[in-house]
Amino acid sequence: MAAPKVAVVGAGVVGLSTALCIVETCPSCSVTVLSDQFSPSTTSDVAAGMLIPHTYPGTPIHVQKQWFKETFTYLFAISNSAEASEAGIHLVSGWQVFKNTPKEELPFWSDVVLGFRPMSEAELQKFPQHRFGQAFTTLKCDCPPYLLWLEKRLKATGVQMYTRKVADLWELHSEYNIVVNCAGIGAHQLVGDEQLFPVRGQVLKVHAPWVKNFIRDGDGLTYIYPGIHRVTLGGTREKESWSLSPDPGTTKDIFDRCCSLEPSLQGAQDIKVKVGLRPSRWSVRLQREVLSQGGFKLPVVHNYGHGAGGFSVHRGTAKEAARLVGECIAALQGSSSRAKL
Amino acid sequence: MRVAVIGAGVIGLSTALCIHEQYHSLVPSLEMEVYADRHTPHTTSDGAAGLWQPYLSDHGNLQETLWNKETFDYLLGHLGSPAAKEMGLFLISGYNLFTQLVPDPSWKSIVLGFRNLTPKELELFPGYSYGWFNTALMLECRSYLPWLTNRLTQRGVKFFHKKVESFQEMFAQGMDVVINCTGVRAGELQPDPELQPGRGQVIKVLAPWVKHFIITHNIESGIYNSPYVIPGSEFTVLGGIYQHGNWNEENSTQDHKTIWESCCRLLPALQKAKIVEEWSGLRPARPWVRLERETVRHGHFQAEVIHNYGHGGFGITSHWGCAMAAARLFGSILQEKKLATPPQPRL
Repeated sequence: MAAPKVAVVGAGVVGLSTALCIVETCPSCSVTVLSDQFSPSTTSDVAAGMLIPHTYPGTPIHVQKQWFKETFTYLFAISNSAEASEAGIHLVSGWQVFKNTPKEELPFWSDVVLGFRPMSEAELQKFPQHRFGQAFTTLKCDCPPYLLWLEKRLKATGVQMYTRKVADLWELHSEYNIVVNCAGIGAHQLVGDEQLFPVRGQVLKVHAPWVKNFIRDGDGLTYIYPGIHRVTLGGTREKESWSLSPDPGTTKDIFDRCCSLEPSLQGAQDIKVKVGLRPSRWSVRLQREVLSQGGFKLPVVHNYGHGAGGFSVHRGTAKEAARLVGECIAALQGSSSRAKL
Repeated sequence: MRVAVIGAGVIGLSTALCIHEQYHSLVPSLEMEVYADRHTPHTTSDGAAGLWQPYLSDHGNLQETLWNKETFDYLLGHLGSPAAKEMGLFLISGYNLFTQLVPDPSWKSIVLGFRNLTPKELELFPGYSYGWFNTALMLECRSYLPWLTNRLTQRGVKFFHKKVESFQEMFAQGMDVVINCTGVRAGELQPDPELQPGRGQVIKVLAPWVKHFIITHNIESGIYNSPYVIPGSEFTVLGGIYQHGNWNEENSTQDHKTIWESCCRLLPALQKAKIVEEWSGLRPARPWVRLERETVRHGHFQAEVIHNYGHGGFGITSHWGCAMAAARLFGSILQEKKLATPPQPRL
């Protein structure tokens, strides 16, 4: 197959990074990104982009750790280069605090982030309602900058990007040899995946440039993540809620919870409210599938269902997806050479 | 009782506030005035990034370590208050980098979460083989000095834009006590060969993605002669110049080049930062801080001077501990003059 035509559906962090990995591993491929939304209107744009993994119950821990490690290493190198500010990648230190000591004192990712250790008594005094905590340094991917940087790198390699709502993967079979499904929450409708469900998150993005450290409650519900220009205050985890409209009561609740962790946030200015639907699933769907209709076949690689942990594992899953695309190409070349016999 | 504070940098204003807070109710006749030819934002304090961090070694000067601790604890206590933002006070974490193993500093237990750097963290800083991580405080004087000025003005303290030429000038005006917080130019009021300028230059840039302070150390070149990057609430300060004995307050192109190149080498991401301002200032360097009383003859009278100057590059770091010490000296003056009942013992 001369130049396999690959369509990547979805232009969030998973879609764009997967497209980039495919280009990197298969230079002869012609890659096109199709999405109904591009930055700044993707789910990724709402997220803070913190590299703190979410645990998928259905994926082996060693696999999740490998994905996280690959992602962290990749971004670490960018953060230390001249491209860091354009890519929106920066280091940030802070604390994860718990009202009750967690069952697992050492999360699986504690040796991937930097300087992970329990908080000292003096540090905990800043959080009188919390009894235990962990301090560490991790990375943050600010969006839109990171997505725009990925788009720029893709365009530089000749990747085309089109705004297009794909209603059915099969509609692409005549134009493309392989389809990569990075549709995030859109996969619910696109491929009818009933195991995929939204977990609604509302966040506030505020101007509070004196906040230099992140603070996260171990329950995952309340967090303060300082970005380049804005601090993301969160949040909510509302299972099965499809509403993209900000809720004013929730806004006040998030603000109050964050102010109790960091009182200086009372002085925050220019509060913007955003909502995103985490594409949640028991495990990330990262696998090949072959669709067939009327004698025609369309190889598909699925890479969706990253839930609350998209940024944390995006590069690792993108590389795996690119590897699966490579398998699809080999299979197509194998069958086409068989067809020639 | 008329008190004149000379100097309106961080030392002058905090000493004024500390004394006024403690003694105004005990001495109803207390009238305080602040005299300075430079007020915020034109003081030496205003140019400093505002990071609380003492020098690496206290040279056995336990007194200074105590003042530093008192200052840190005082500021830490204010972190959660509504005033913090207005004061320009916030927590910040960061790195101290070395090319060799060094002993832990006297302040390791004062700051939060002090630890050595891990090998992976050191990968971020090629050329440095050892280092510390800790969380400290920032106190930005372009906010803190106006905040102090407001507190003082609310208390009825008067401010004068004036260069005081001599202590005698103040006593002739009827001042009973003069608090000398004149920083690097204290020698103009009373010769002090121990006091020398420690010239510094900084470049202020827009680099809001930098969330940590990074201070490098070169044991041979000496303190602050090695690049440092300190992110503030609006700008990031790049520095690394310390020239002992240099009185020049003009920006030097050579120093600019040194700072810019060494900081960009340290943090490649800075190459894209936009330069907003350049500034030079004179640290009031002295082997130790001059914090003491002096009785000065003024005609038939005895007048008192409390000296509080010579804080070098750690004025912000030590200011409140020094202000409290100056206030204690003031209290002893009052006792001698039998103007105040001794303070009640704290339970």
